[in-house]
Amino acid sequence: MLTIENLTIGYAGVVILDGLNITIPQGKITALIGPNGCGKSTLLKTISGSLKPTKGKVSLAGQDLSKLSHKTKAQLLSILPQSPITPEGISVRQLVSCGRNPYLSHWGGLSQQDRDEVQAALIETGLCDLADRAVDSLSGGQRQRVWIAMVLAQDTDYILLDEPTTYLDLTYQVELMEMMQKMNRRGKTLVVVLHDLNQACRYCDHLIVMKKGAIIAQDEPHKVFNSQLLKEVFSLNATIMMDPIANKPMCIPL
Amino acid sequence: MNMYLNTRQINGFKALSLCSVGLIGFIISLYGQSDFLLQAGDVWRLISAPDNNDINQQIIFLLRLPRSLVACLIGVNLGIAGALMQGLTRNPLASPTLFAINSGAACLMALNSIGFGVLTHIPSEVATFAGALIGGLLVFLLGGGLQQNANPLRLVLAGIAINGLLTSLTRAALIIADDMAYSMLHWLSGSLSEVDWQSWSQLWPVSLLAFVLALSTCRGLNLTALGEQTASSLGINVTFLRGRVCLTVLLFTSISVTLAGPIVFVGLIAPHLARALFRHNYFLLVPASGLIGGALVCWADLLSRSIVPPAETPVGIVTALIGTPFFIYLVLRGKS
Repeated sequence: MLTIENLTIGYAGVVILDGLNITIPQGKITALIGPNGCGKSTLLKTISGSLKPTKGKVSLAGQDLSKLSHKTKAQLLSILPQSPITPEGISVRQLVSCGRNPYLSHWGGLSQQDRDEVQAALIETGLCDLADRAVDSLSGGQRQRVWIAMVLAQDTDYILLDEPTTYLDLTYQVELMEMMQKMNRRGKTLVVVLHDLNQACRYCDHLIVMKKGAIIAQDEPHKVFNSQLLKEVFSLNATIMMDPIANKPMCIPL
Repeated sequence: MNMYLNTRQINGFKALSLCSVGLIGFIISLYGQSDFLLQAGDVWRLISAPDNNDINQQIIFLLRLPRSLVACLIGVNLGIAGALMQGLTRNPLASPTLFAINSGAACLMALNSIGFGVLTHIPSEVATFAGALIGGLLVFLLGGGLQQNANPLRLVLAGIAINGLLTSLTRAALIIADDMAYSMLHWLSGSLSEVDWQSWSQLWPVSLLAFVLALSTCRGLNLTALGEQTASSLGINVTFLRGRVCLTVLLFTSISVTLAGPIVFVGLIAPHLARALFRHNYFLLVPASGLIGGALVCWADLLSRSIVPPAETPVGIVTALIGTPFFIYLVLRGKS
């Protein structure tokens, strides 16, 4: 279980996250939602350890994450940043292989097991036919699949995704959400920053709602997602209905 | 699988061609352009039938061989240092010059030769090496090298500032010590004419150490190419990696500038050519940049002796003459 205790982060006198206490339920998909600039990405970066908190700690199964080595941490938890950089000319297979880095010895190359894991990730994401293509020659949706495959190859129990659906058209967005559900069924715990509230409600089991660096609510969608919350967090007048297909709450702005 | 073998063979072929270009330059530079009319045959006889009384063989062994070896190795050093800098900052215009290593070395050397304070009591090589390290470390510390999430741009800005400071100090020293100005200027243009076996014995151990360090940073640099946050998520300690890369670049460049003065543009061009040949994998890029750098300086040194024989044009001027058009090409290509 991933727990966050009294997490505070800020610089130059500005507090960005203020004493957050969060519990990420294990084996579930958690969505982080909130208006732009509310600290979602900062929270994700702090959990992954690329930002150091001023106060508080992030612990996984009771173990303080900042006490672990970079490599050990990378075997437990992976994060896909909002805009990762694609090196010119790198092939799909090479990029996905990068995910195996936490398991390599300092001077060693990929073992047979590493290669098998990479292959499995390629099959999982349907990229086998594209494995030798250059990533920068692929479409946006395919490219995002490559990054997901890299995270899959990293094979961590906890996966953090920072706005994975941005710049994707609806088909790829849905494809990506379904891929997340598939990963979840295999026992992965996912934390995802999402902008589309209806997608968050439909595909995620748990919502964390943030505003101005504080947690407003955290619970299952049907318990927290209501018009009062939307008014308070997004200053949005909306009515809530039940989605007839998935039977999850959805909002329609008025 | 077939595809994979193919790229391997192609890379092997490219590496072999690079080696041959370097080796040809190396051999020609052993006998080419000499007042003593040395010939390729003398080089061959030095290997097959060494004769201590043969003046041609002695010239090749005592003067030409150490010079060519040092020229090559300095090229290798600068090429690899450039590749590491570009990898770390993810900036194609970064080069070891950025680290104020050249200007630091020049500054302390100038102060040493005009007899400034305590600097008079230490040998000029030591002063130069210390200057290189001080310049580099200043940029590294000011550029936020020890901080988490330091912006690579900050390193560039720190480099420009420190470079400016040290260069003006050097100029001041040159103006004060007018009589030293010629030899200083010669050194400042990057020259291999003073190089001997002693230089070689100072150069290779440091270079070897730096090369091992460089290889140990390759995987980290490969992952840094995906962005620092991704690298960190994949288990790379980015701060530690940055420190190691900077130390390696410092070692490579300091020892080179101490022995031959600032030889410019090699650290910029070599990694670019290497990238055009071997793309993005630093395990290939690092040795390839070294090979290209070595061949480049070797040929540039040969050229420097051939432009107006018997006088020598400083090799740094030759590399600058080759490098400037290349630099302009890079900038123009970046625009389109």
